[in-house]
Formats: sequence, structure tokens, C-alpha cells
Amino acid sequence: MHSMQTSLDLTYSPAVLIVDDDASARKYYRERFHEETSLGVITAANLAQAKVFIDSPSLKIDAVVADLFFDIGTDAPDQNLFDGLDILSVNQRLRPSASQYVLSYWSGRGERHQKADELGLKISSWFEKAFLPPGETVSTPWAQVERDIIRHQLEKDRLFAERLRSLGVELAEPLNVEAVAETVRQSFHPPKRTYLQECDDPRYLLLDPIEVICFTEETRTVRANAWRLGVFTEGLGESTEEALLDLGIKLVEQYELFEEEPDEHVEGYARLVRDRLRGCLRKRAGNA
Amino acid sequence: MLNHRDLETWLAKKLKYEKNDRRRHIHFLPRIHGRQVPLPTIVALTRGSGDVGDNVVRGIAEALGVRVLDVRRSTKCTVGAACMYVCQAVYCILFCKNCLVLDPTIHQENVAAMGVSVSRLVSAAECIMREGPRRWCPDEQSAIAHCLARLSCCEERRELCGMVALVRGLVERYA
Repeated sequence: MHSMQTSLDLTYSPAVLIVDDDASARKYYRERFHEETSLGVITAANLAQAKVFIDSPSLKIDAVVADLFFDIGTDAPDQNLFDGLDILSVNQRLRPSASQYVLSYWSGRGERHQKADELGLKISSWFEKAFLPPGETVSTPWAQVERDIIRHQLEKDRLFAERLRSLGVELAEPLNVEAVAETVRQSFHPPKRTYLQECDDPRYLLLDPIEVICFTEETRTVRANAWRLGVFTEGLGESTEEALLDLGIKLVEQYELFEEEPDEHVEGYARLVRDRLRGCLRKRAGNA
Repeated sequence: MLNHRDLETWLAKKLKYEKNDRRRHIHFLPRIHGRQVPLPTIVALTRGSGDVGDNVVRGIAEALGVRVLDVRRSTKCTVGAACMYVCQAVYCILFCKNCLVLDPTIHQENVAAMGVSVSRLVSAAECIMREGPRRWCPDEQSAIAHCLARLSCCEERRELCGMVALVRGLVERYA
């Protein structure tokens, strides 16, 4: 925790919202963003959930990557949300500074581009969905989204380049934003602010995304810290995904430990942490 | 190298932390006279055998508020439970200070609750010292000095002063 704060660059901790009704696509792109960029990730399985996340001031969203077509049941006709372009339209209204992307098998369809134009949507890129093996070197959505976010950061924060230099990132003069963005993308690995959404225990449900800060040690071990909950233990793993998985399990174990303790024994700081855990974890129906 | 079994024995027997076997990890919580010290899990070890990895030792040292060296020398039992409670109290105060850096809005809530827990840790350490050694041994003095040096950054914060004074008072009484 201590080392984390001293190295955390609080002004650069971007996150991307991935909206897709296909669980395997969500998993694949969440892993790629987590493991190959400095971006945190939050995923939404349906359009209504995506709207809740976009509405929530406690979630940090710097970019939205949305699929185009959503199956019945994952759309939200009662809220006029029928496809990915509708959710991007909501995002553009509520979070105008967040960049927007389409990621779909049908990104080339002319009528979708026409609808985007009619809605006045600013879409940075239309990506074709493709499941590439890790380490693939062709242009990838995650790399471009990260590059765009860094470029925006450089444009809006004049001191960002200075801070990068102080952190040892070598920037050529004169500053060329595109080149700097690529340099930063390749060399700057700040602590990552991301979100835990599953606890890997079928008996429990995470009610809301939990903010987590992940940082990578020199030994490549990733430590995931849910500092807002106030727990002392961290998730450990060889990747962000592994560390988040470990953290989720530890949170459930911690919750169960508190719940087994007589109420009058849980005092002071333990009570505070227990109440925070109660606020974000629920036992699923049918699990006594 | 430190192995899992020795580490578990040190935490459970010497430091009197309650060992609690869960689904995937072994949790260690401070417990005094059968009653839990009001803190969440201090250390959660992945079940295993053989040597403990460097990153795990570093994590444990940080969570206990001591140096990596103190954990590595744990089998020699040169640092007692009272000293560990002092170091733990220091860790708790630093934890509050660090949360303030990240989000001031949750700071007050943390400090108020942590005050109860830190005073319980200090009482527990006092109890052990009064009935037992009555002085910190050289290794404990060195571990405590390291801890207190880290506390200096908290003294300028008025809301943390009470907790800092409690810890310093105890340390000086048995110096």
C-alpha cells in the first residue's frame, strides 16, 4: 500500500468501458486491455448495465468500446437503447470527453455508419472484431485506444510531459504528440486503476464494480489492492487478471470470516471494513 | 530461506495470530484472550509447502509493519508479539495516512474506526510487556526504531496525533 501511493500518478489512471453481450468477447478484450495496456477495464454485459456505469460518477471512464448488435434481453427498449450506437450516444451526452469506439463483426456495414452520422456520434474508430493470439503485432484495438487516451492526456495536461520525464520516460524534442503517445505506450507502466467485477465464487455476487489499484513489482508480480474497502490483504498474481482473481477470493474469505464472528466482537476498524464488504457482496439465492 | 511451515508456526504460535483455513488461503488475524483485535486479516497465505517466495515475504513484512529482515529471521524468534503489535499499530496509522492521499473523503471514517483498533493493539502489547519482559530486546528496539521513523510523516496531521502518541508512549515506557 505504501509503495503504491508513492508511485501512483493520480492524474493518469485511465479506464475503458467495454460493452458487449458476448461473454467470451468481454473476457478476451478485458484480458487484452489489462495485459497489454496501462488502462483499467470495466465491462458491461448489456445496454442497461452500461448506462448505469456511464451514469455513475464514482466510475472513471475515459473511453467506451461498444459492440453493435445486442440480443433480445441484453438491449433495453424501455430506455431506447437498441444497439451499441445508442449507448455511445448516451455516453457522448453524459461523458463528452470520453472517446468512443465500435468493435463488431459488422463494423463495415454502411447503414450503421449512416445511423452514427444521423445521431451526430463522434466515433474515433470502427474496429473489426478479431480474436488474435496474445502478442500479435498487427494493429489492435487496445493499442489504439491507449494511444488515443495518452494523446488526449498530453493535449489537456500541459505538465504531463514534464511528469513523464521525471519518471524516466525519454521524450524527443520537439514534442510530436503522436510519437510521444507511442513512446509512452511502449515504456510507461504506471499503477493501473481498474475494477473487480467478479469474485470467482459461485456462491457470491459482487453488487458493484470495486475499484482496484494494480501495480507490477520488479519481479513481475502484480499486486491488486482494493484500498477503498480498507482491507489489508492484496491479490497477487503473475498478471493483472490473476491478481484480480486472487483478490476476489480473498475478499469473499474475509467477508465470511467477519460474518462468522459474533456481531459484538466486530468493532472499530474491523466493523468499518465488514460493513463495506456487506455493501458490495451478496450471497446468491439458494446458497444457504 | 523461510519455508511455509515455519512461517505459519511463527505467525500462529509466536505472534499468537489466529490461523483460519479458508477456501484457498490461510488467514491470520490478531486475537487476544480469545477476542479478535478489531482489524481485518493481516496476512493471507496461499496454501503451500516448501520455501516462501521473496514477493510473499515482502508482502508479509509490509502487512506486519516490519522489515523484510525481521520476517526472514522469524524462526529465531527474536521479535515478540508485543513488538509486532506495535509495528502493526504503526502500519495501521500509515494505512490511514496513505488513504488520505488517494481519497480524503474516506479518511475521517477510517481514522475514527482505526483509533479503536490501534488503542486495542497498544493495550494488548502493554499487557504482554507488563507481565513479561518489561523491556524491548535489541532486535525489537531496532524493528521499532525502523517503524517509528516511518511514523514521522504522520505527526503533522492533527487527526493522527492521538494514535501516534499512544504508540510512542508505549514504546518509551519499555525502552
